Amino acid sequence: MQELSETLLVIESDAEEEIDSASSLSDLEAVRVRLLGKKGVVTEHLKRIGSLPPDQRREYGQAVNRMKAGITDRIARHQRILQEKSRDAILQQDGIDVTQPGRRQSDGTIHPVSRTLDRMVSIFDRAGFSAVTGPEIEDDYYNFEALNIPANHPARAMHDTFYIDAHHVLRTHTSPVQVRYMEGHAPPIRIVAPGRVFRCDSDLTHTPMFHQLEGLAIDVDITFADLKGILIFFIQEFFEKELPVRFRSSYFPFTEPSAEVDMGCVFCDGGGCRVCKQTGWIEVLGCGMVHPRVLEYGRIDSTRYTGYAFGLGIERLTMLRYGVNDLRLFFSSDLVFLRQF
Amino acid sequence: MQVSESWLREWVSPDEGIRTLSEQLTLAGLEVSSIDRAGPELGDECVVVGEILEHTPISETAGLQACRVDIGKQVILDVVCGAPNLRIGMKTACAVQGAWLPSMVVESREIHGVVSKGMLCSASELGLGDDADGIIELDTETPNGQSVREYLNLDECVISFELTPNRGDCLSVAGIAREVSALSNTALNRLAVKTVPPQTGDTLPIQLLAPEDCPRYVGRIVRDIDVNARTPDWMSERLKRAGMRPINPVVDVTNYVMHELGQPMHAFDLEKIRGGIRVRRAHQGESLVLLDDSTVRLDARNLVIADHEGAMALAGIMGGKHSAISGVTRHIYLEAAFFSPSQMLGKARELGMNTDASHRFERGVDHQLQIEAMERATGLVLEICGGQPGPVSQGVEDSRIPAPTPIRFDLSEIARVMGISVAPETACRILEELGMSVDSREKVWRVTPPSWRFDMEGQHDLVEEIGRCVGFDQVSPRMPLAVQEFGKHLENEISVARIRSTMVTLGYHEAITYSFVDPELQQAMFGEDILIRLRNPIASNMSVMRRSLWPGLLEALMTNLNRQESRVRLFEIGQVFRMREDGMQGFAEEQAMAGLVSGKRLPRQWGERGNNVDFFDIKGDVERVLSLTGNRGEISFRKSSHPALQPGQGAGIFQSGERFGTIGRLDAGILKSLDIDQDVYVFELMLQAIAKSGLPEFSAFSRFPSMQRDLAVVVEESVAVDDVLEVVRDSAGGLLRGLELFDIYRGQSLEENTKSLAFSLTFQSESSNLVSAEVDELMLQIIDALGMKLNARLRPGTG
Repeated sequence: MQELSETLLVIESDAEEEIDSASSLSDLEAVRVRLLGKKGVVTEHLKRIGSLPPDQRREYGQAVNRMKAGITDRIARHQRILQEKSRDAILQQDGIDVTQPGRRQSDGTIHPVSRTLDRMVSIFDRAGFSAVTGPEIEDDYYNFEALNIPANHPARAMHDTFYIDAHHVLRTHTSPVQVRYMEGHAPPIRIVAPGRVFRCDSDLTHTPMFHQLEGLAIDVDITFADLKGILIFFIQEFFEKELPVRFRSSYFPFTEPSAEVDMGCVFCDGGGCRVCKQTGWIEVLGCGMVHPRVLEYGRIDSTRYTGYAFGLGIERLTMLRYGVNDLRLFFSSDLVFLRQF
Repeated sequence: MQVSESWLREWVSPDEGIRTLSEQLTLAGLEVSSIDRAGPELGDECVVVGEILEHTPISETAGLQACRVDIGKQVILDVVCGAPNLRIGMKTACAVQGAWLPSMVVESREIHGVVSKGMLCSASELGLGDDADGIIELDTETPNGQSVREYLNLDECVISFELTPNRGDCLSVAGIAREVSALSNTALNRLAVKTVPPQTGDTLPIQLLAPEDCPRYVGRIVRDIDVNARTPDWMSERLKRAGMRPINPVVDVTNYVMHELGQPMHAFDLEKIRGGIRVRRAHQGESLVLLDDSTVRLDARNLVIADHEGAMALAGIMGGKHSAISGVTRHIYLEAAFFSPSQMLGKARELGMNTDASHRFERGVDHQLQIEAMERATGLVLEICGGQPGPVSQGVEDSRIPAPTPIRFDLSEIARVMGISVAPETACRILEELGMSVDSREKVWRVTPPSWRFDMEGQHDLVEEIGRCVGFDQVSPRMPLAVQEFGKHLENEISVARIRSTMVTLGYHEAITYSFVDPELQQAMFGEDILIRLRNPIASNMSVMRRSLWPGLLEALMTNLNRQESRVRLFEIGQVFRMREDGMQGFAEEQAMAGLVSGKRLPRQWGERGNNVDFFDIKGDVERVLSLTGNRGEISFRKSSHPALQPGQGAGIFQSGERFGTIGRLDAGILKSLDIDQDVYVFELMLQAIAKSGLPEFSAFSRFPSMQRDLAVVVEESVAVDDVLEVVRDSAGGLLRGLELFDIYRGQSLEENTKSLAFSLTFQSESSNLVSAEVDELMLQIIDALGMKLNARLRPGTG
């Protein structure tokens, strides 16, 4: 019995040595078969249990099983080590350079003017204004007359108008949408009308085409206070900043009273700089209460309803928002410029 | 409009400084565009009034004179000067040694052996203007030695206004002063204009032959004036600071009165007037040489001031050359008239002119001002030039003078429009300070605007006046308490924003190009089209309205190719224009989206062969956009020719038989004419066609296994893939679930002019497991149909 136990110890220590020296998973598998396979050394010893005298079987059996468990553990442990090594090897062989760029189409961009327009429309959408559009070749009537600008009115000189024929112009502002919309809709009205407008003027700070967004609200009990409320809300939302805003009396034939709106300069926080010409203020839009005559052109009872209107210059807001310093770049289609947005 | 501070303060002088005042005016609608110094900061001791006591020539050729100049305090200075206008007794500005002038430092130096210890200065050398022809001349009463800076009040401010067209009444010192008075609640020092008694009985007869255009004409003769008298410094300085150039004392006086009171005036040389004054419409073809030497041809729409022989002046715009004041004029005829704004509107502009007078008459001149202005001007002429005035004579058609019309004013309008309440006393005070007369005995007031306001029509105007004088800052902003109506957004609307972002994902940059394009390019691309031309384009290559976005994108491509960008992917969304085609007059505009691609398909990158983009790349992009509608089945591409596209490489895009788009390769000839030497692919879609999508609609689907078959057929080149697909679908019966083209082969193993198309077909039943034999039967059916209809054969080695 003593002898048997010693044999088992020798077998176990030989086996351990053999296991540890297996250098690959296939070597290890061969070792496992040699030791634990059907004809393996350990299996052979297990088979011998039956041939031993009954009084030795139990002790011997326990010893062999103990040895088998030890060897099995040893194999499993070494297998893990070898597996680890082999993953490292695969990584060495089959690894990729994950810093290599992805395979793809180049990026496109949205034009900054569209980007601004979309933001504006969505800010006003939240305040309950629907977006509508009007024609760019406009009747002289809607562009001027219905907005209280009769022929030869000095205010026409403020609009350098492109003419198509005696009755058609390229709209000089988005305001004609006001009367067009009023004609087809009864109050309450809350709309914004974004779009292209045209003036025949071209120099460093003027392009013959630019974009505006017109706003119009008509209802009972609409006052200048509402106009101030909505525009201050808009300016602060658009610039994401609590900017000061001031309303200056001005003149537009289609609003009365009329105001120009200045906001605190975004570049110097009102301290005075080149952009705001040292005044700390930047003019951003014109607005006012809809002139009763315009309401009447739109077939709305001016004794019952009041309304406000405003017009925002898109390029100007875009320049202020993104720091673009040359208006003409917007229409240059220069990819170096477009890629920045 | 600009005015010097001292002139304004003569009329109204509130305690506020000029900056505060300007801010107030700006907020109240009289925008101050700048505040400038009247002149440079000359040192008080350095530039002083000097009197030329004597002068002796020192150099014949250079015309230099050695002058002895009295600069006060018993100091006589030796100064060498070459000015052509220097003379004994003349007072001028003398800069002494060490004086800093805007462009130099004065030093003592020896000139032709004479030591010059100072300099007699021209206006230009003092920084007071561009006159460099001679030394500046000052009034003879000016004390020698007085600082020129102090004498000319160079430290004062000149305020410039950017006035809106409704405020013609503020185009004068009096008008600005009225506003200041109302805003600062300071009393106005109205100028007390003295009546000048006539010394002769001379008058000219005045005939108003167009009384609706000119209902009041006031004239006066002044005899024996000295037209060569000098306009005093105080007047010429004020005129200069108001932006006007002194000319001669008579013209200076008329300009001065215009600027002071707002009444444009004119002076004729009396001896050039034949008979009397006739204010009439011009005769057709009548011509007149104006003061600026231009000749205008007139017609019956123009109003003229004529004598009994012909037109002498273009009423309210500019005087004529012949009857103008000259250096030998002895007797003058002064004019102050009221021309109605409706007659004046646009007239000067039609003639390409804009004068100080026309600017004011178009906006409205106070119709009660003419006699006062005449008295003021007469007084000033006599003061400067002497002379004997005749009586003031007036031609007037009272019925045509605008009548004061009271406005009914319900005070509650202030709250209804402005959202603030203003005390009745405050409202009344403001209106009265603005010159209105207020009858507040009843609840609804009666407010009569003054004769100088042409912009007061209804109570909304009064609300505005009160609002702007109280200040818009008094109105507290109010946010909507609730949104009255919620916006509508339908699920099936495809927003432009979504289309735009799809294009961006596909690698396109959005461009915005001008809506007017080059007519030649447009015609080359669209052939026969009638052009919508601008009457007054900014340039000939921007003179027709675009009928497509392609010309603009093509120009954009050229811009970028010129800047070494050879790979260009651009798109634009915008309106395109056409004449209406339904027989009605007018124009049709539609929103379109176009794309343009040129250069490599993908940006340069590893593992890419760098192929150029082709038709199917851009078609794939278009299909991606169209897939937003969810109903691709209804959309088809059909080969069609287009003048802008390479023959055989263009297609129309159709939806339910309606064409809404075009795609293809730009014509090589057009590209060559523009020096573009790479292929360009374009598409354009009318967005209305894809404005709506279908909503997803669930249908039950089969769980039975499907069966797949591949089919390769050889057809003539002329057979389109769509034709094959259609035959397959029509002949496959109801079990066909999927059909994809997966290969196209052309090559040696095929006959010339044929191609092999390989399709994958998927069959599935909703009610049972399919049996192979069933599908084989269907395949035979399909192959037969393809053979019959398209002469298609199975590709050898398949089937």
